Amino acid sequence: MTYWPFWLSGIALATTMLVHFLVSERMMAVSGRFTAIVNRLRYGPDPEPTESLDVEELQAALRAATLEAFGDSALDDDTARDEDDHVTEDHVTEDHATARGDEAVRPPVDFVLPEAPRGFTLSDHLLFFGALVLGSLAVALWQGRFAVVPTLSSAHFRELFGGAAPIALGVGGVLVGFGTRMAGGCTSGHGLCGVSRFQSGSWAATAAFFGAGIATSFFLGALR
Amino acid sequence: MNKQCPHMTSCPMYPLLTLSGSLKTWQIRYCRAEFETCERYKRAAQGRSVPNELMPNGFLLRKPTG
Repeated sequence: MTYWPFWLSGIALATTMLVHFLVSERMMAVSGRFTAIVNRLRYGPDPEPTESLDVEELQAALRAATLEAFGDSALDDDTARDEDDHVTEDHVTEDHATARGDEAVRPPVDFVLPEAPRGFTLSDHLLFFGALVLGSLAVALWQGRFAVVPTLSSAHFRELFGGAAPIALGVGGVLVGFGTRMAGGCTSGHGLCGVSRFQSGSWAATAAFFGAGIATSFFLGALR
Repeated sequence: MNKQCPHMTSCPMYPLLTLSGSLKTWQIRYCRAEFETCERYKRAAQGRSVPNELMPNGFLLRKPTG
């Protein structure tokens, strides 16, 4: 089997990540897509993104949200009350109380909620996984080494586990899935996206899973 | 020790909740004292996307109807 030089593979991988980010405005992470599919099945689709709100619309929406969460008293803030000092309690009308409530949730005129990047749909995720399989298949066919095998091609692996190889693979897969969810990401999420963005958690996770991988490799090698 | 949400500095909703008396009520409850009850925090902890217009109690800021 022949591999590309490490530096060429690295450049190709980095280019893929960059193109993915530029096109989708999101980092490319494989396990995150599995999580998104599971969450979609578990919690249903995400709400449709709203049209951007101008200041008056945002203020009205904030007023409704504040009323729902905390009731009328939350809209009666000190700032608004100071501005209303000239109005005696006898003259407070319902309209005035509403205006005072609006004042209490007034955002600055230049405030806008940032627009969220377009989320991925279920079909986006399925397309990604389909392309992942097709890409691997294309390379295997190109190199003339496509074959359906029930176990890993490593002779050492077969020697170690014998007929229990499928069980070992199944258990290993569950452990990988569990660890990925516990760590909040996998090799692509932490090792590529997180490390390149200097996320300390990703550095720790990458050191842990590569360290564990190296240790396991030495351990299995010692069993020969 | 004062509790505060670990997402506070990166949350796009947080700057809005620091602006006036009533909006600070949200911040005191949902960014500090009871941040585990914030819908934004809960969605993020579940690995779900968090709409920018989602308020901490689950209310979505929408254009007024009618």
